[in-house]
Amino acid sequence: MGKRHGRHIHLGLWLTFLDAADWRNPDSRAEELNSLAPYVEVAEIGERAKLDALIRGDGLGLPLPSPDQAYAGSLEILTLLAALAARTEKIGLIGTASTTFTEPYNLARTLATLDHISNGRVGWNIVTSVAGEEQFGYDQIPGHEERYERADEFIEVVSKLWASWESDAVLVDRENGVFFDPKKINRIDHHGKHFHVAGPLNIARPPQGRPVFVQAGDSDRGRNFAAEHAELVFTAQRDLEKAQAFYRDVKERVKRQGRDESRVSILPGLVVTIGATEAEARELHDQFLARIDYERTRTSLEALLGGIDLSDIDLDEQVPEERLPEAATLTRQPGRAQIFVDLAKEKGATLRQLLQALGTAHGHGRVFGTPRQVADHIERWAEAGAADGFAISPAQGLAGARLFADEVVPILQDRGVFRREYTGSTLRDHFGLWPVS
Amino acid sequence: MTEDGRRLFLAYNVRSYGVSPRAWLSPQLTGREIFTADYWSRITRLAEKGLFDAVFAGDSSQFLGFNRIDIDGVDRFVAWASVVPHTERIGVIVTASTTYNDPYRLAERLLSLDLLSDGRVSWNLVTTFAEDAAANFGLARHPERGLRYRRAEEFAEVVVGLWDSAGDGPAVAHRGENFTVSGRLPLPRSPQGRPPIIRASSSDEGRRLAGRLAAAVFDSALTVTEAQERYRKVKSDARDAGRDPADLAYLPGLRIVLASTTAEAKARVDELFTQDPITRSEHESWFGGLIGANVADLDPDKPIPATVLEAATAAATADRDHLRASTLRVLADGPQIPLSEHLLRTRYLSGGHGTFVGAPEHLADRMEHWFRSYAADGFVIAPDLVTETLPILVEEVVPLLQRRGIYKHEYAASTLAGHFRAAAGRLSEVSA
Repeated sequence: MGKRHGRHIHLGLWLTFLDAADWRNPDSRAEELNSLAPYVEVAEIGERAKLDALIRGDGLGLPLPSPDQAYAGSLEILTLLAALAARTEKIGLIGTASTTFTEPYNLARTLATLDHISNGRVGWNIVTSVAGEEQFGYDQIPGHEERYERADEFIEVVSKLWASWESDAVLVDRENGVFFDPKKINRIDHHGKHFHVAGPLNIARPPQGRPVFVQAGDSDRGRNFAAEHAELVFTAQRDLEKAQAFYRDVKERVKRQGRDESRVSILPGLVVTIGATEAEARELHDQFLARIDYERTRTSLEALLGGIDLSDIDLDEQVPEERLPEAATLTRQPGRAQIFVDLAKEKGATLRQLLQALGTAHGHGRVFGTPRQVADHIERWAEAGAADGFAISPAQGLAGARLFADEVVPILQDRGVFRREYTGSTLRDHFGLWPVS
Repeated sequence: MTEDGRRLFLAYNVRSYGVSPRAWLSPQLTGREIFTADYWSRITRLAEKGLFDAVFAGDSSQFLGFNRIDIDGVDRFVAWASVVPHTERIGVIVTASTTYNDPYRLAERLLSLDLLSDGRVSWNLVTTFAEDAAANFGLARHPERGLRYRRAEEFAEVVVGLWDSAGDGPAVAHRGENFTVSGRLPLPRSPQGRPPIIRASSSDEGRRLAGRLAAAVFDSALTVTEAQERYRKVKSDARDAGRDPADLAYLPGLRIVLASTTAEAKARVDELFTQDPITRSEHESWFGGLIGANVADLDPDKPIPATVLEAATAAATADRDHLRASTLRVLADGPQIPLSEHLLRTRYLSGGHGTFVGAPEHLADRMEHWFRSYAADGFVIAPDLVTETLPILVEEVVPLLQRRGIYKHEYAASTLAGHFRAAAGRLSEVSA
């Protein structure tokens, strides 16, 4: 067993298979971006390695490790996860869905069904969306605060819907010919600022009670939201000290909510490049950096930083401080923007370095090295109180996922910090979470 | 194959465990199967073995009540997506409401499932009939029919526009009465061109949309004459919209109680009716609704008063409720029998859908007759018991249909759109 509270490290795997910077390579399988087969392969790799979960972001929400999210594919996530549920048995399935652009009744149904057919393996990555207003008939995206306010009420409504069937409401009493117990299925009659929902839901309570709540918001408001609701927290952290501070801060906020902070897992993203030797890994990493499309990535950075203009800055110059926005005031992704503002201000990063941080990892941490070095990095951060595990994004695409599963995971298992076998069957089991009352 | 090259289209309606409210009591079931991926894929794989063109399930956006598990709340995208990796050719028909969905989200979900299945998805467009759903979506009341149908037309336009924007099609810039949508779907084009749309209505408003955009019309028809009339209308709608009538299939529903002998099948219905008080009272309430009178107020030993039937027919005509009107016509034109006898007979009417109670040979006769008389291009078969009926269909009825030359021996197409095209007849082949 690991030393951290006697608990194991948790590892999620981003459900992507393309190396973002290398999709032009003839064997990248970029043509299969929106078909089932490569995702089944990723899922099987993850399950074979006994990873906790597959994690799928949303083109409308959580940023992916690529600046151009098209490289991640655009299949509707919960439908894709439903297909993968039929091809896997144990691995968790974490999907992203927006509280800004969906109806609580519909989403509650979808997630409950997915939890049923996967036997309790679903996690909901709750996003308030950073884009999508044009597709959904808004003139402009609702503000940060308003989106979170709606999200709070949304979570209240879907939670009530999932609880509208008591866990033993499905009787199947053949003798008396009673399928449901009418006393155990109740209306919710929710009347709030954003939603009016009568209920009950039209499907039985999901096996996990409700999906595991996952949240990725680095802003102050996002952290409070996570402290209140989340059981898993995703975050972008590049720096051990900052990660430790984030970790302490979120756990503290969780405690202040009266919740058990040891039952909330914090998983920074980690972009991983693996080589047989350190030199080979470094070379692969350098190639990875060299393939960045700086022009395109600069456009993404300008947008992330609130629409500033960086076209006149040389790649090896620093961004003048007065051009950098007050990240906290941005409508979209203030927490993520903060990472780049900090990199520029505190670390004196050049524009090239900023673009590398965005272009390869979208602000997430990166590590390259031998399998042992990668395992060391993971264990070191966990021991240092900076992470309960990681959301792994292999830089080398499908081959990288295989390397991670076959080379890195066994080292962590040998060290006793990662499971050799699944000991439970639900996502809640994998993360050691409390059952939902 | 028939002389004109048409092939009977068959879809299996997986209405939870079956239309019968007692279906869940089957000794073959634990009653919890609908919550498992295995149930949906087991049924679909068997239907694929019988070369069914598609599986289908209706949908509802509300809890229907304690005696209704025939339309479960299982999310259709999730259920059918879990089936896709275990099947190869059979289509999946997703029912989704235009009243309680958003067009961008729905276009995205349908095209995603279509891509995951390599072109085997169709959208059954409904506007939601049940009124209580409104309360789950913050609406004070269910929008009236005219509003729903207008929204449905605009909704379908937006969805089709988004599907056409996929790949490198033109971006959508839509500003209408109900929706403002701009942008493109960042997905490849559907392997089917577009996922085919099914319109489950043959009312005038529903037909307009079907004529322009649908690949098939789901309908309910009690008699072959009625179905032939609708068949011709639907085909002319396609022609009037500048399309080939063969691109719009006419598929009436067919409720079946299938057993090795007719006596056995009838006994199953009788048993349901006599042993299940809920079924009996629901049926009486349905029948009362049909004739517009409380059954308990009428004399069970006398025929239904002509005035009652006339008033009900007038009301149905005024509501443009052709389903009800045609059922009333069957009652009025039939022999003058006591009300109690009517109640017994209409057990087999199933709320307006064509119904069959009997043995495989007769079911094949019934389907062949309708198909060859251009009353149907195929059927959506809704059994009383899903798991018991499908093996009989696959092992006994399908071979009969094959021997009669109206059913395929192997799938001719790999997409659901291809399956539809193989079935649909042309208007010119219909004798007026």
